[in-house]
Amino acid sequence: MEYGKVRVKSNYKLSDGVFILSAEGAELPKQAGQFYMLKASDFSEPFLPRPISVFDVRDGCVDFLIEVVGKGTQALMSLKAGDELEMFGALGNGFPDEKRDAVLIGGGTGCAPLLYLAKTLGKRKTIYLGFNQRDAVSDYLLERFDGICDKVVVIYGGFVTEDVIYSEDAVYYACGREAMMKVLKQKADDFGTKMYLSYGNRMACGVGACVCCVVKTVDGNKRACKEGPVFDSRLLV
Amino acid sequence: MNVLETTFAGVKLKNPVITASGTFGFGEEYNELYDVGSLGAITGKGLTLLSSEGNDGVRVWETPSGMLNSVGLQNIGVRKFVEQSHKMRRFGTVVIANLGGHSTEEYLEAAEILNAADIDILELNVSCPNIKSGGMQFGANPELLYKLTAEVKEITRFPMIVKLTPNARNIVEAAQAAESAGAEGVSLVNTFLGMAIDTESRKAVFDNVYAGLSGAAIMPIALRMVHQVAKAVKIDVLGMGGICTTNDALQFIMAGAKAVAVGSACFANPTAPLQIIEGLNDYCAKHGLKNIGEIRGIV
Repeated sequence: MEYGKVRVKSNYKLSDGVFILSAEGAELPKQAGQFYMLKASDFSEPFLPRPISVFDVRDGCVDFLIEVVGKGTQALMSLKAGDELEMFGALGNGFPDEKRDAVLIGGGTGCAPLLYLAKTLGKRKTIYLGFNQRDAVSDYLLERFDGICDKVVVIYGGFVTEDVIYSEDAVYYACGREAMMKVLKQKADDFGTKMYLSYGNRMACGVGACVCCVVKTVDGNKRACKEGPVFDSRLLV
Repeated sequence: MNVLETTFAGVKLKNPVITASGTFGFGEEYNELYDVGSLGAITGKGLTLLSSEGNDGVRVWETPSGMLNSVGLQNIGVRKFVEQSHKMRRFGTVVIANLGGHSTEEYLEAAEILNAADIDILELNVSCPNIKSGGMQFGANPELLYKLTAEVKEITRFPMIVKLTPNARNIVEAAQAAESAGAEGVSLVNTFLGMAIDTESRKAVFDNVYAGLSGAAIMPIALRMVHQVAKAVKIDVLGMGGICTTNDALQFIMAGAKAVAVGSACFANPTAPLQIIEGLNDYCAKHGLKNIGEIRGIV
């Protein structure tokens, strides 16, 4: 892991609240599913950096797909090419590559860590993407995943978890809102499916020191930033 | 003597910059980023007699220039800490263990067990706002604080400092109680009791409703309290509360702190303690100080 100021290579707005921030000069991730703590500048507002997972790695740059949810992400959206960005990472444990057929499930912009995953996984890949509605963001993401995955299934409105075919023959990787993750954990238990879920909990330190981001598991609390953010669904309670 | 060398609670520190309890784990995590042995001392996560899973629900919340936390002393318990305290020793700097509790009996039993640990200083935490019983109640009442400090002091084999809460009616009286009870020092301040409400759900953000405020936002109030306490006691003062920069640290030292602790600033910038050490060295060089102690308490 490294901490320091890097340069914003580009910041591309997909819509009013969704953008792709590309950072140049940072340590590259070792694994898909890892994240970085990002901040527009050190002690000014907002105080805490935000944990953002890797969307893509291109030409030595790390790309982040970010949706504005508060002032931290708002500050990141206001960055322009050439601006400084405080970057700490790569952090956490990403998605293990089990060298098997993979099913990826992404809810809205929660699909962010699945793109780099799809690029780095070796086997046949199917992705299910669920969006509230068709818009510029969904069109963009669909196009990006289309080139990498063997099969892309997209659902507008409704629940993507209901369209997924669960089987024991493939390994499942998912990321999305808490409600979706809860359903998926249940589905994985019901169908005996091997599933990895990535958690974007609120964090402060990003390295496991403050224990603010814990996830409840059968072995007690685990830190989303250190033992996670990716967890085997069977360990979750 | 090195310009930053300081003796705190009878223990020699290579510099007066310490990490605050609860913000630095047991040092291991940040040691992956830099040599934590270069810090004056490291304080471990708050311990209790028995291990604890801490609080449910949201644990951290961004606030203007700071943050609220409601971790609730999630920790491995003193017995497990004793088994692994040698790991902190390996970093090559002074080790402080922080001990919290819910009752006098619990503090005493835990202090006894901690005597087997390889640490240098015991920080008695009577100021955690995030546990349902004990903790801050001891720190808020000078009589209770005196009694507890004196009893733990009887048992512990380590120099002891008492971590004070800014939520006490009078923090100076609390510091004086700790001094009379035999503590070698006091550390202040712990977090301020605060609150956040989610206006969409119309509910308190935290399961415990109230939580501890830290970060740059509390720095001027913490500084004032350190100034008041340092003027009122003869024992060593570890100043903390929103210290982010060298200038912040210098202000605490000028207010009378013998050492300073960096807490939430490590989240905003994980290298903050290192930058402060470097900055203090530069300040001493620029102002011709032979030792940082020359400016202690000058305001």
